[in-house]
Amino acid sequence: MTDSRSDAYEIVTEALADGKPVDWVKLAQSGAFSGDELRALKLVEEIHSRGIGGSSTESEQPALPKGLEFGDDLGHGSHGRVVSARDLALDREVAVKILGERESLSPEARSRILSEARTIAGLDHPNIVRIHGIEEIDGRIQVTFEKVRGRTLEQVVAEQGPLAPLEAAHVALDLCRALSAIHQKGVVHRDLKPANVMRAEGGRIVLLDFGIAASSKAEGPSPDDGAGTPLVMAPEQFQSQAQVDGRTDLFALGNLLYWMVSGRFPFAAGNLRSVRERVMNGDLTPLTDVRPDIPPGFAMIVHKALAHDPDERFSSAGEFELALRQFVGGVKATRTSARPWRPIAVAALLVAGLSLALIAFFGGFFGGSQDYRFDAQMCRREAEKDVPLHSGEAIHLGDKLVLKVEMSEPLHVYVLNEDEEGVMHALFPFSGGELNNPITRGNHRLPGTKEGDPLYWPVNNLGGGAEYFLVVASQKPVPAIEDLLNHIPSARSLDAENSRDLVFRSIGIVENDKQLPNEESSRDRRMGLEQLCASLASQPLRREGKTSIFIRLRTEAR
Amino acid sequence: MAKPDPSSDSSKLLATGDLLTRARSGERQAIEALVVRYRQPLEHLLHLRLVPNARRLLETQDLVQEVLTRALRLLPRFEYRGIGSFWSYLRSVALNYLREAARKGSRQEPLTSTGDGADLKSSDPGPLQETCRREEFLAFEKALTRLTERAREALLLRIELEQPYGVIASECGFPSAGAARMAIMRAIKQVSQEMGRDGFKE
Repeated sequence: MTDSRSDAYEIVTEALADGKPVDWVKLAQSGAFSGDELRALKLVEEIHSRGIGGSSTESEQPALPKGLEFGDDLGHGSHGRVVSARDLALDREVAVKILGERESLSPEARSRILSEARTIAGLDHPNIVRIHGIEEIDGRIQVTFEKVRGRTLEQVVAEQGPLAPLEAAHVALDLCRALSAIHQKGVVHRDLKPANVMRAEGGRIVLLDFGIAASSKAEGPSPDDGAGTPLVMAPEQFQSQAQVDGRTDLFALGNLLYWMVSGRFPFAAGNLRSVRERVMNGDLTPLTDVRPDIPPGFAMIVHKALAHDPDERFSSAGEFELALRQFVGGVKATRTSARPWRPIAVAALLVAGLSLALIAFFGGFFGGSQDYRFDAQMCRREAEKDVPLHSGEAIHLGDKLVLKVEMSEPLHVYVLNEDEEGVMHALFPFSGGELNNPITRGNHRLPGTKEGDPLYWPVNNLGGGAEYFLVVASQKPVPAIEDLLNHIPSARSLDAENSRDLVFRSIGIVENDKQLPNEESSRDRRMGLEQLCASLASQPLRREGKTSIFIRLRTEAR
Repeated sequence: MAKPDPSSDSSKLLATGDLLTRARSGERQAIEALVVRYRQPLEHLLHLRLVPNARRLLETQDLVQEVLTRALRLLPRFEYRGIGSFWSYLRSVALNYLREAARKGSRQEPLTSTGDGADLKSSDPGPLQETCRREEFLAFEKALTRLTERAREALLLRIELEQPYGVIASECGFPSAGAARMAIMRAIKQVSQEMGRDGFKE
């Protein structure tokens, strides 16, 4: 036994014996304990705790934040009791999570929970439960959040049976967007499971219960890692918790997808020891064994997400989302028999292996290849300032978008846009601009300038619900994109005097649609960003030094 | 908020033996005193092991009453050797009660997290998750059996009855409060390592 392990044991057993707060984050970071040991130690803490989080005194009503009136007890989530309450001023129902005494007393836990709540509250994402406030009352942290009316996936599948692959894929798409948003903030959920996902009335998918989430940037793994649900835990969660990152959530999402369409978990066994052995050995039951009618493309996505080695899984929620969109698009195309290339595109994309990171999908930043450096950040122009936009964030009517880029050498840069309907447009390069490829090394703001004045892309249309952006940088012109530019509408500068707008159809209103192909013909010719990505991925991009960034922005009425 | 400490008046706990003698003879006040004294830790023990569905269906306090009634009925068979032994007796009655309840319950509606043998192939994640909890508590109980009787009683007196180290030292025969504390720390470590080594197997 190493000294550090002995020391860690002394610290934690002393705290548990004395009934004092345990610095779980520090313990997990030490890597001194296995996941099972942490779970055992946390169980001792739970047994020793008389706080509300695990209390026998549940009939006692703690004080709620001012202006809230107690409603029903909604149960016990991780680390705390959850009650419904009525906001008397706003006359609406909310949910309140009342954390256990230990969580409230531990400075580390308090700091982590407060930080996490602020992070989640700042996201304002439709697929993430909204946090209304956080207060400390009688030494306990209380988090007030929206009360989502609907059913958990657990309830949905229990009532309706396994979902169709397409329906499950749509649920997973929303979860990818939620995960993408939290991962970009350095938060890992760690307990993605059927009971933590709600299908709200109206169909909105909402990710709940960030009670054991932890900031992977600031603090590294949390030893709440002893918590979690073993049946959906990734191999790294059973081992040293230091390796837990966003890909752990993607493994759980793979688990969830498998379960949604089959009603079974891929590593199910007769007892937890067997579950653990199966997970650790990567011994999963092939999805097609339990549901033979599953489309191969869907099964490939699920199995990739469930890869034992995190490096073999999807590298990001955005990449996972892209694969799901490929599948969804392929199914729709197959049904309409209008897109014979779609299934091929799906296969090509998956076989090419997005994990090779030839195409990387990030919200706003990408460290370039070995050959050069290329960073890009989509921004909203506000009060003469560029405010960064991250994937999944909302853009609104009237917003002005710019892309800030930084490059270590001259590069060809392409910015392409596609809306929910699949209509693509080229945002950059465009005819008549003063900034052209190759762009010189250094910092630039796209789309550039007009007679010295900065240009921007305006949001003039909120149709479709989302806009997708692909940014590609290359040391040489990319033939596939250059060819594409000849077939899809491009942004263009307005002729109006002093205008700084660039107009394109997906987001902006067409100023003069006589010069642009009509929508139907555009659709017929379009490749789709996914198809384009697949095409690029099949080429030796790394050797040519290409870099790409994929950004998704929601369109939302103010 | 201050944590309730049932041992704050240790003289009452030291009188548990006397209360038991009186309770055996049917003295109502003694029985009520025992119920009051051990109700809260029993509630906590049961609450942790009851699955959420069962918590909705059953009042934990009713279960506590059932368990205490059964424990007092079986009291003539119990040999009192201190608070630790009495708590071990009470919790064993409680856990047996839950196991029986779990066996009576259907597979779809498990009552407790203390039973065994649930099938993780179930399609419903609710019972699956409950099975995880059940196996955690099973592993905990199994790890307890590997402790010496003195260490086990000391640990349970501390974490389930929240007794001060001085009382535990006196009850379990440690030379000092500090020695009791060290023994409890070692017991926690051993339990954790046993559970970690076994991987929560049954």
